Amino acid sequence: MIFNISDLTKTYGDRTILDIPALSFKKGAIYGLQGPNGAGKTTLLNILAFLEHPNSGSVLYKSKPVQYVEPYLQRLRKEVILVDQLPLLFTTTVFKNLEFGLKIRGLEKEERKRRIVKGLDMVGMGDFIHAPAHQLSGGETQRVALAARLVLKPEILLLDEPTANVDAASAQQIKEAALMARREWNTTLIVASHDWQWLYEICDEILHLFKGRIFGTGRETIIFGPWQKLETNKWGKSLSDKQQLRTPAPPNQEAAAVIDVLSVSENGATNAEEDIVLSGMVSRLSLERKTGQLFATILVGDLPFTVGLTLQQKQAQSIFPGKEIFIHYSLDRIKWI
Amino acid sequence: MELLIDSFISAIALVISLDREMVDIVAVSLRVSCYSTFFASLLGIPIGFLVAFESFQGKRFVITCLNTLLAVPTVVIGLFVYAFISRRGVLGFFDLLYTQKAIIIGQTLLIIPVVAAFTIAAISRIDRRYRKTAMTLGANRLQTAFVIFREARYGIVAAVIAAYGRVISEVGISMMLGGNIRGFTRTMTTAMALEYDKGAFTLAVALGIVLLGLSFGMNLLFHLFQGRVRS
Repeated sequence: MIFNISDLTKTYGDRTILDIPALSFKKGAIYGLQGPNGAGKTTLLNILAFLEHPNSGSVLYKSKPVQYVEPYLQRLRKEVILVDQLPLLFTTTVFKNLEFGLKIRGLEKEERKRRIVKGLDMVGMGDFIHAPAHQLSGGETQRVALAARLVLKPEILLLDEPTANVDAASAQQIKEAALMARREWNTTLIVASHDWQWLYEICDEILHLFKGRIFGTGRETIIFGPWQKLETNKWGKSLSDKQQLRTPAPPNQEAAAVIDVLSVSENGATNAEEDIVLSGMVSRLSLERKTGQLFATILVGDLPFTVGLTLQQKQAQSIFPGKEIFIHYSLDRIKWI
Repeated sequence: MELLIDSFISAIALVISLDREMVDIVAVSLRVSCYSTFFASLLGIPIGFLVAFESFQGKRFVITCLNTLLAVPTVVIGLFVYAFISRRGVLGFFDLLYTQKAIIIGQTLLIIPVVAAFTIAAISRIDRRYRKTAMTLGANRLQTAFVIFREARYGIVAAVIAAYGRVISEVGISMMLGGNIRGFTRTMTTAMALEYDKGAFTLAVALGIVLLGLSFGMNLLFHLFQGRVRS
């Protein structure tokens, strides 16, 4: 294990940002971090990048406890490198931006130049080597920022929403470059992203972060409050297509419900009394690379539900985007977080 | 009105002919202002940088004190320095009173807060992500500080220009500590005050034109650098 975290908490004032009892990362693997804004993804990445320290708990890096003293952390930061969500480039040329980290590591001029050319080629920015960095577009800035990390051949590369603010072409380049780093140098990748389809494609493991807690695998359907009392004296939400999403009484208005979809069917027939059935439409299919499991995203009203498909459904090819389908869930299996 | 127009025409002629006395006065002014700006920058930039870059208790208080010192009248500084360098003062044995060095000391003290306060403003404007970027690329504390300094360079140059503009046009310190001695400690502002007392406006107006020209140049530079800060 390259990282071993136990009983970690991070607070800002009275607010607990992270509360993680146990978490570990394997060398050379790709991890995805999912979760809504404010879930603590960036804070966790900052802690993993040794830019912030936890309030309590322990972080083991390569089986040694991290000491939060500056010269020691600086050495670790040369191995674990973060690309910010909105990265900044120094107000100089692209070349000098990429050269900064290499100079700090004391590399020879020729080696620096060789790596810079290769790094820019990896992100498709080879023609911009002498361009003023502050004149680049958002997507170009993100790619150059990634290149500035790739030239350092990081052991662990932390990417915070690397494709959130860029166009499709830049996103593609960033994705390819990150994977190339993994192929060439066995770099461990930890990627926080809302692009769950990409995460499913590339990740060995996906972690779901919600209100500072690691929770599940990222495949659960989470529905956020506020909740209302429905006519039937049950709790839930009225959906945009006039259906009602029924739930048990929530602990508070802002609680989020974790709904475990039991099954999908083409006719909505149910034989269990406690089953709730809602109709929806398949909007997307995705494959989890590691397990080979196929997942369907089914839009019910405006809410997306994620469902793992069974072998029979796959073989019959009965599920495809655009198909109308029914989801089944049980009130008893709804959890609140 | 006629007096002003006549004086202005004579003054223009004086400036064009590079009148010897006027040139000497301008040279003294530029020399003392350059030295005092240099020494104030040497002290004020590191003070401002450290205050802005570091986190410490009482930081807000220090910034408030520096901002308060921006408004100190030149005569107060003149009086303060006079108390030290006059014959009866602690530093009287250096015999500095009524020398250019005395003016430089006074002006340096006057603009250290200007340089420091403007440097703090320049550093504080720098996006905090620059620090994070430098750190994540493996920079140590000194290298990170250098990055921040580099990013704030235009703002810091603007601070130095602003300080220079303050000393070139001050009169209180030059008069009290320099004594307005002809050919020695007479600066543009003290000469103008003297010429006004004498009722001879030609040289005063000529010096005024030069001073305005210099101030215009300083402001042009200042806005140029401020513009680069904003861009």
